[in-house]
Amino acid sequence: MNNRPTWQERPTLFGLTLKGFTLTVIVLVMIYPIYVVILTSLSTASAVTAAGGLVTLPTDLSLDAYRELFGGGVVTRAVLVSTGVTLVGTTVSLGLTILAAYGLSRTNSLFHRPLLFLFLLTFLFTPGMIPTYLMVRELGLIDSYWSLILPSAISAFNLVVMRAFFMNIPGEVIDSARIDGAGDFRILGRIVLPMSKGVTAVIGLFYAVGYWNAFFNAVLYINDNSKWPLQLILRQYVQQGMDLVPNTRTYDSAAGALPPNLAIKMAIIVVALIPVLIIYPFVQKHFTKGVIIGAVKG
Amino acid sequence: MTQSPTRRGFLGLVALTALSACAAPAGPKPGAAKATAAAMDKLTALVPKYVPLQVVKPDITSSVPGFGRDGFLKYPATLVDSITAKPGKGGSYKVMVPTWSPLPPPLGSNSYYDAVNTDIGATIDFNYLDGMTIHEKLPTLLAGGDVADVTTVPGWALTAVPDYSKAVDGLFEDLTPYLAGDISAKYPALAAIPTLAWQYSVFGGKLKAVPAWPTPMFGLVLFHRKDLWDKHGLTAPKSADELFEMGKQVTDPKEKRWAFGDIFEIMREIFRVPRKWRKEGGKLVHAYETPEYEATVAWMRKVVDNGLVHPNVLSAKQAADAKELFKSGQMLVTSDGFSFWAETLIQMSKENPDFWMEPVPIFGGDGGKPEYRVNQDPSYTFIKKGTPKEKIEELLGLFNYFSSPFGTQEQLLFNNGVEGKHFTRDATGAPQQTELGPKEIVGSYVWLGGRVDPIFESQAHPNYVQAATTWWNSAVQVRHQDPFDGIRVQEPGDFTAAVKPFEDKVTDIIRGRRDVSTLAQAIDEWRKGGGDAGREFYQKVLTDNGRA
Repeated sequence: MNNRPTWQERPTLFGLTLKGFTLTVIVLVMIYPIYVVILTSLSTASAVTAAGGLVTLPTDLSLDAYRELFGGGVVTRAVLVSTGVTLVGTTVSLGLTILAAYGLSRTNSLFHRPLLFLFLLTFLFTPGMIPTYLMVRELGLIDSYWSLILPSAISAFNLVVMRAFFMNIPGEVIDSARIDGAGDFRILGRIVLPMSKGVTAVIGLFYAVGYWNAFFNAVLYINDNSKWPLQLILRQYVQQGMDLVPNTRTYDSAAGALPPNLAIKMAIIVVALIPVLIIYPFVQKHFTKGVIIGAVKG
Repeated sequence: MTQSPTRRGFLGLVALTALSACAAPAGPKPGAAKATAAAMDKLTALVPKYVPLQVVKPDITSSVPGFGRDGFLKYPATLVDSITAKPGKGGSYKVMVPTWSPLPPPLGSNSYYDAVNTDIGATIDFNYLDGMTIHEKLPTLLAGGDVADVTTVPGWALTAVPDYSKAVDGLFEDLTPYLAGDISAKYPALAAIPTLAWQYSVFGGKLKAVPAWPTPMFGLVLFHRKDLWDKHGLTAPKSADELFEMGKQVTDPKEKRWAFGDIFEIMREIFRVPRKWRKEGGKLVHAYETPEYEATVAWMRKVVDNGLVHPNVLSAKQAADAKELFKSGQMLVTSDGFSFWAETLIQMSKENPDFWMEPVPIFGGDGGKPEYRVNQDPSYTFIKKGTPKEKIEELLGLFNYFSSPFGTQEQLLFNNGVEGKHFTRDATGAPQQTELGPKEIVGSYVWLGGRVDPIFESQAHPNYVQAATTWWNSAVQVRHQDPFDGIRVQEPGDFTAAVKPFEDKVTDIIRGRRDVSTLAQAIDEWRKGGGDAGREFYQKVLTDNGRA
């Protein structure tokens, strides 16, 4: 008999099978809805009707839903808007957050405590919708794409996570760079950032997903429909047929829109989902590392 | 139980306080001290004189002017070209209207916009407000004042904005000088908008808007599955007691069949409970205080106690699936808006050709007459303040065009688009959308102006128009007469706040969690919690308006 504790023993075949089975079930539970959504979005209207809703077995496949969605030009334009806002927004946000986090992580920088306190204050006190709106308006940003980026450019949460990570970098490394004559920007660019790829990737992902999914800023600040981002347009497809004003519909009227084809609704979900699904695998390896380090060294 | 504040709870509280402090803009609390109501005698002088406009003779004529509706059994064979001269003078306007549909292609790549703009001789460029978030957008829009040349807002969204009267006054033109009195020669279609809708367009003593969708509406109608009702050999009930007995006959949980949904609200109308107040000997009596209200509560409790209400309706806080239960026949009697009728018939015509629903024929709770409430809070189309006189007149001419009633060529164009492109005619001559139709046409021009639409539906059941028009025109004859009709009231906040706790208690009573005898106590608490203060306030509104 060996004296190894139980957790060091080879797992039994039964244990392995049970684990494998459980994991497979969990994975299926995750994958199956996505499979159904994608399949339904690729089905013809008649296949959807025949299935009585969501399609689980492929019968009659077509790209009709996507053709319809991108046919009017409205969705295509919104994809461009959303992509642009996400790219520019993430760049701006990440740049500002890195600079602020680095500055606030150097304990000898000027006013770093009161400044940090001001950032943390935004956790507790959000300015409210109308004051923010008036601010954006006074800055002349109504109907400007910047109104989708600047009000939410820095998230205090992301800033705190990143600052905690920077503080975790040994002071000796930075000191030695300084002895070699490096200024703060060089230290940040050559020493700190290369050591912080993980957290940068994660925070970047947070920002990117945030910008991609945001719609409420656009509701408030963008009156010009041609500048609406994708999520706002897609919402309208999803909510089509839900009418809060009972008085506004006459039934001979062309205004009474038909309920949307389920395939189109599912295509919308796919369109909204895909970019996030695509970025995720690239950032995933940094994901756990980045978040945990930030969390432990709070 | 006393609770010591936790850190998390405290933070939440801080955040909440901060939020609520920011949410309400500075200035007097709405209704608190400066609650307003426009004076009635003045109201008549401020609004256009009602002059009905009939262009095509309907198959069924409306019963009560301004409330009834004409019926068309088939689409009119010849349409009237009611406006021959172009109303526009080449102006170009940015217009904002709400929508609940996907955005259509914008001006420049939308042949529907082009066709209508050519016909009116002006350029209207639409931007849409997302209907689902309009109540969140509107406060900021009004606070910031970034309104388009023309803005249309649904009444329910507008009145939810704190101090909306002030915002309306500051941002939009006063239309009284243009529209008060007899305008039937200049704007015949606008003159045909019912007076009540115009009266509600008066904000702070000035006529500020043109009402869109002025058709009065029954907010709730008691519908029953007539097809199944007949199958059980049941007839029309003459009183609430008869309805209860019939409910007992059809309910059979083993067959998954229950008689009723949550019909408390509509039963109040059937028992003749007033909307808010009733004048009794010069004094105001609130709905809750009437014996009719107590009778309704007791009746509803009896229905619940006997297991006649569908269990899903009772267990769910909101009867979200009531529509589905009704369509599937699990529930035979439900209440919903009038438009639920045509909507459901269109949907069910494919699934179940035998499906037929209609309102339970008119009856009162005690065997007398009911008092059905007609809602009149339309949407409002405003013109931006500072618009020059000649532009305002051009816009009003356009609104008159877009108020053209059913049966005119104008209405066909702005409602359905271009024949052969957006719609084709079916065998009866009624327009049917082509594939392009719904893509380019969402409710846009229809918001600019108002018309009382007749009942006409080519897609619903062949019996629909006859049945609906008959029911409508008899129901408006027993409509509830509210002493505050036409008066825009911003009521005190305390009074509004007292409603919810009271109605929660009533729900408890109906659902069997409290005894019916506790109703008197609940009413007493409501009086102290704002009810009596509200009475004084409303009494003053009546006096101010010369209706006391």
